Amino acid sequence: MKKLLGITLGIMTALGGFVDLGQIVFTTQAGALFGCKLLWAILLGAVGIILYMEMCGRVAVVAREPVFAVVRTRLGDRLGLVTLIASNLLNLITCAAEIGGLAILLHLLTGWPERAVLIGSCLALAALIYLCSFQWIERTFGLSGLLMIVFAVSAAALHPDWRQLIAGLNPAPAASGRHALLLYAYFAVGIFSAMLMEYEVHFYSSGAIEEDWKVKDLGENFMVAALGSILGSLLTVALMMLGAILFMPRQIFPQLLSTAVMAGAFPFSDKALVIALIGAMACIGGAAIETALSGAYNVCQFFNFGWGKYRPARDVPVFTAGWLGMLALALIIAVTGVRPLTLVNISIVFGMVVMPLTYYPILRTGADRNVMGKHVNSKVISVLGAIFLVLITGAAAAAIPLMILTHGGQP
Amino acid sequence: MNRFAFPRIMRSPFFLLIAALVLTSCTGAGSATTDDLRSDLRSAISLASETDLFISQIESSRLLPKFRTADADYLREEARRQAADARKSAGKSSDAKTFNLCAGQLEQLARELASIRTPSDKGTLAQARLQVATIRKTLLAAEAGQ
Repeated sequence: MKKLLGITLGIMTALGGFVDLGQIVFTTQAGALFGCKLLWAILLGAVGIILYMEMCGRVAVVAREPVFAVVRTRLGDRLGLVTLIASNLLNLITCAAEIGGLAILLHLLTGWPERAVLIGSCLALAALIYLCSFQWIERTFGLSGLLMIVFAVSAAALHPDWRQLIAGLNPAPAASGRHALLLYAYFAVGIFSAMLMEYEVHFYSSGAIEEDWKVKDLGENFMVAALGSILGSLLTVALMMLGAILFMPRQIFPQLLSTAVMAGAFPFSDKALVIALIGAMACIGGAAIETALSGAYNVCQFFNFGWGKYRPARDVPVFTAGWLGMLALALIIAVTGVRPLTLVNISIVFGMVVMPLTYYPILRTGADRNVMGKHVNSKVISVLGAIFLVLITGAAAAAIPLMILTHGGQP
Repeated sequence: MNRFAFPRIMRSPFFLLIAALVLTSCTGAGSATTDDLRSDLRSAISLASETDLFISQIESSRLLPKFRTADADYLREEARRQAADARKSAGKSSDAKTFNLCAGQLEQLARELASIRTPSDKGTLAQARLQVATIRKTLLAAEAGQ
């Protein structure tokens, strides 16, 4: 019974923590432009994240090696260092975007001045990381993020066309004209990337070590990775449906976070809007914490410094300075007034570019019988893993050219 | 090895492709094209529709007062930013008239948003909605003319 409760809580936490600013904005925009025709990209991303998350968790548990220790071993010092720098720049940009997004939502909810809210929320996040255990942080934000379900309820209440939704599983380009085709490809890559944001996986893998998962917990690892991601993907589908139902017929291309959040409570009263705002704040605040911690985890794991939220801050000075530094730098970026949605666009595109460099080492380690013993990748996982390596590499090669050619996804 | 040679990564096809794309995208930075105009008009139409949706939510009492003010300010800021961009493009384009029309409509939209940012009577909201519909129609006509 206790085990079942633990798994359920893990799945709920994974579900609540699945969505972030990038997904809220990018998927709603994709729905506004193409209806549900990019549903297949969400499905592809869901399979990819389950595969990647499960492998990372399994490698962390069996080999006791977190992602960036694996990256250093498999890629060597030089390429490993390039990957570390790229990943942490990405974490920094994403963290700045999430903090900026959090400030916008707080401003919408309370009316307090945005800059004061920005600084205040950043300090509050730092205090939370410092004072709370890993499990408390994960569960507080993950479970509060469940309030995002109001987006799914809203989408269902707006009477979606289910047949059109299912037709979205067909990946045939549903656009004509050069610009429309490029936009379609850009949003397909963007959705795939937003689903696979690597900080989530690094955080998850480090969490497996933080929470001292053992080989007997591998079943839980699979359940949390699979069910949490499937349910989280359904939430992403709801965001796309809202874009398709509310924005597409009105020729709206939502460029403001407020518009995307308003959609989450559209058919309901102002109380539902409060729920949508709090749910989005939990997801975005959680993502800000995950990116800050991921930055610190990455550095410490790569250079073999002590790390872990379960250890007193003074015992792991590089780790503590790492996440504090990430938050401080992200705040500086956000305070300069760069639009969070611009930052999110950059982080999604460059996230895809960096992805093969961390995915490949994990795939190789997961398939290494010498390291993994009987917990080595099964044949199915090996085949799927190789297919996704090809897909991820292709998407990584296409991401920057598509961003340039579509002017960052402008219709 | 010639130490003045380009590093190997800079000679890779991928790097050359990226460099070519960046340079290609930069060459258009000096003048505003028809594509830019179409994109500006679409963004402006989107913003006008967003404003209409926003007013409909206020009319149905589905927004919190603080949300209403803050969102009106975000929409207004966006309208002003887009108007400034369109004015800038007008100076660099042979289609200055349409760019200026787009900017003018966006400035009008910003004024309408200023009038509804705080609680107002139903008449003000209805009037603003009519104005926004006119702005949208004007922009759609301009887009159709392209």
